[in-house]
Amino acid sequence: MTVTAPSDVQPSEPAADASNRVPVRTASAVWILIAGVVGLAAALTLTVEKIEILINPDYVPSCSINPVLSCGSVMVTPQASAFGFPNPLIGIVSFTIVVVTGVLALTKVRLPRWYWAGLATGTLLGVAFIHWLIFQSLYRIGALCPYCMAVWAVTIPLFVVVASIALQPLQSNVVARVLYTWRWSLVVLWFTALVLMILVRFWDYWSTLI
Amino acid sequence: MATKPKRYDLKAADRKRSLAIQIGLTSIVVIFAVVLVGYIVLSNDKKPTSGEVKSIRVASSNVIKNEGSSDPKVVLSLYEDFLCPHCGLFEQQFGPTVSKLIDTGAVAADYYMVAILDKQGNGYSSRAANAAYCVADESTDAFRRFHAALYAQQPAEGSAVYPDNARLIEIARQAGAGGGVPDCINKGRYTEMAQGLAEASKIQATPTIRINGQDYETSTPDALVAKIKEIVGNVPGLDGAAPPAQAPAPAQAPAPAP
Repeated sequence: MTVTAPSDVQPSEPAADASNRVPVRTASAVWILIAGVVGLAAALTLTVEKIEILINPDYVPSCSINPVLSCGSVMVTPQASAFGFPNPLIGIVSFTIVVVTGVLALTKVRLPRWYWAGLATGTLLGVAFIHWLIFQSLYRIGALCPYCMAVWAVTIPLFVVVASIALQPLQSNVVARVLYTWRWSLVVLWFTALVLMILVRFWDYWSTLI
Repeated sequence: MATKPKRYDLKAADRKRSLAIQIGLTSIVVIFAVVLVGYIVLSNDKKPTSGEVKSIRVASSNVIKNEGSSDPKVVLSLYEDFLCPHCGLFEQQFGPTVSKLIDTGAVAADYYMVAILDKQGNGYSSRAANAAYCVADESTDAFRRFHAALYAQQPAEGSAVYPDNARLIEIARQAGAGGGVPDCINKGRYTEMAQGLAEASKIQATPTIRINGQDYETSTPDALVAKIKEIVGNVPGLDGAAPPAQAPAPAQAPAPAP
């Protein structure tokens, strides 16, 4: 992974180490930045609400809207501190990295391939973690927390964008090619499945609102 | 779509077509999934039919569970008819104790509101049972108040006038259940289910009490508490039975307005 090319930092000559420095389309960069900002805002809000609850156990968080949409009941569960400390702290750290990456990509800074691979790995872990949280929230806790759902919503497309960038060398692979071509369809289907799961799980409640 | 730098694109038409195909196919699958799930959910949403057995689970969050599972250690099943005088008596004598058992977490109570006295009560049994299920759908706490309120003002068997649906809705409202409850009561969503419930759950008389599925002969509230303690051991806050509720005193001439 050592860069054999001479340390040529002239921006006018990006082709010299083009194989290691990844160009990113503006649309992808904007996506990453938006996902980072939304995720960071949600994580920050959740942390602040968590602190408010710790100060005053009777505090009703701003996102406790009704019995189903309620972050107060979710935030006090053991699953909300999966690693022994509140989950949103992970979000604050990781979405900050995402925001910085988005800004760099948007300003056409070409980051090395290993950086994108690392970010893709981290995002994959994030995707795995939020799916565990989705399962817990739906089928163990039985409530939805709106800010957490914002994090769910941005993490999945974020992973798709970052993985597309990191896995560009696989372009010749047929499977990767097909997955890439259909990636947004897959995301749409994935979201549809999640929304339907939420609808069905809490149908008893939703149906009383109709 | 591709992450290549933009240049003069000879395949623009091709791409447009493949994009349209993607969007089209995705939409078809999404619509299909939504319709399918919607159909399943809505068809499940129909009235529960006669022969179904549905209970109203009342349990506190700290209910004692079987080790390593989320099932309560003791499930106290109560099969009651809102018109049956013995059920009224049971509620009066045992109601506070059952409440205490629930609140201390000693048991999870499953209420089965059966309707076996429709003939004697001009359909009141099934209407009241239906209303109880409607209220329980809204809130378990409201159900507990509703249940207590109906027994506190239980009409006698064979009396000429029974509370009508409007009255049941009012009692439900006082118990703290609004929302879809009036609609549910008027439509009789659970009426048929309540009418078939006694047969479906194989009970011979009301009230029938079962502890973890075993029929239990009630004698005194203290004996019930002792029986529960045999299973779950000592429970904080559960020292003994609660004193019975005051008799609703049907003999008194003018009942005070509620």
